[in-house]
Amino acid sequence: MDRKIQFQEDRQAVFKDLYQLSFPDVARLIKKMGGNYEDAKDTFHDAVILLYERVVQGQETFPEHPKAYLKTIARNLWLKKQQEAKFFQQVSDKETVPLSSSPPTELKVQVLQYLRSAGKRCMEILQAVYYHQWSMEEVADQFGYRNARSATVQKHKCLEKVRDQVKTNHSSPQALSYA
Amino acid sequence: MRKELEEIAMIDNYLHHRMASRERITFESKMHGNSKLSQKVKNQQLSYSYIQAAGRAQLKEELEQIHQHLWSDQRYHHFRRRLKALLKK
Repeated sequence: MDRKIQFQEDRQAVFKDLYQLSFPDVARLIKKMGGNYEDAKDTFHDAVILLYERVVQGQETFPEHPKAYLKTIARNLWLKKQQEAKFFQQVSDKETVPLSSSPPTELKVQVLQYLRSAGKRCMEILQAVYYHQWSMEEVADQFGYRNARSATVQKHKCLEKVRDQVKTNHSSPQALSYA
Repeated sequence: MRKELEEIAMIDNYLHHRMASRERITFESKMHGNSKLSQKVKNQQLSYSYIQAAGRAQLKEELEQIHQHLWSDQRYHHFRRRLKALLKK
């Protein structure tokens, strides 16, 4: 089966396969490069996520040799992390090292958490559309809308809600507020 | 409400490069004279970044669950053994 299709229809099965196929080698690699077990796990997860995004969003074909592909991504991610750690160390002893899983600097972690909890259903619909690249027919099917058109209307309503939250929390340089 | 949603759809098309060039130029000049619209476009762009971040967070959680599963389920005994052997070297 086309791995991209499988990624969209049953990504957890693909993740599980990739885990069994590739995690041991990546863990060994990260360990040799000075990381611990937790580092290996985090880096592996980030590598798989990157692969997912490239195939599903970036139109890349699923790699012929996923184990080698993930090892390469993991190596690069780990090197990048170490360079960033060095940079922050040089800037100030008190600076915290940014985690690989944290959102880019313009986003606010508390807003992300709020959206994922209070706006759970909307975020799930929007993730399905924009992150997982489902068709509107699939979205309608999964979320119980009559057809693609009504799912699209809901998508826009949800976008409006998210945008309102963003507006409230990004409009001033002051502390966060939840309207 | 309907007009607002139509505008959201239009901004969506603009930000995802789905507008024909004439439409895009018209829209951009509209933005130029209208700070409220530019702000909406900015906030909608940020919204997409939040959606992306949420997608990643969800995948991270799924992978964590798979990790736990592989470590607790009897079926994956061989996988764990192989991993331990590799890490000893």
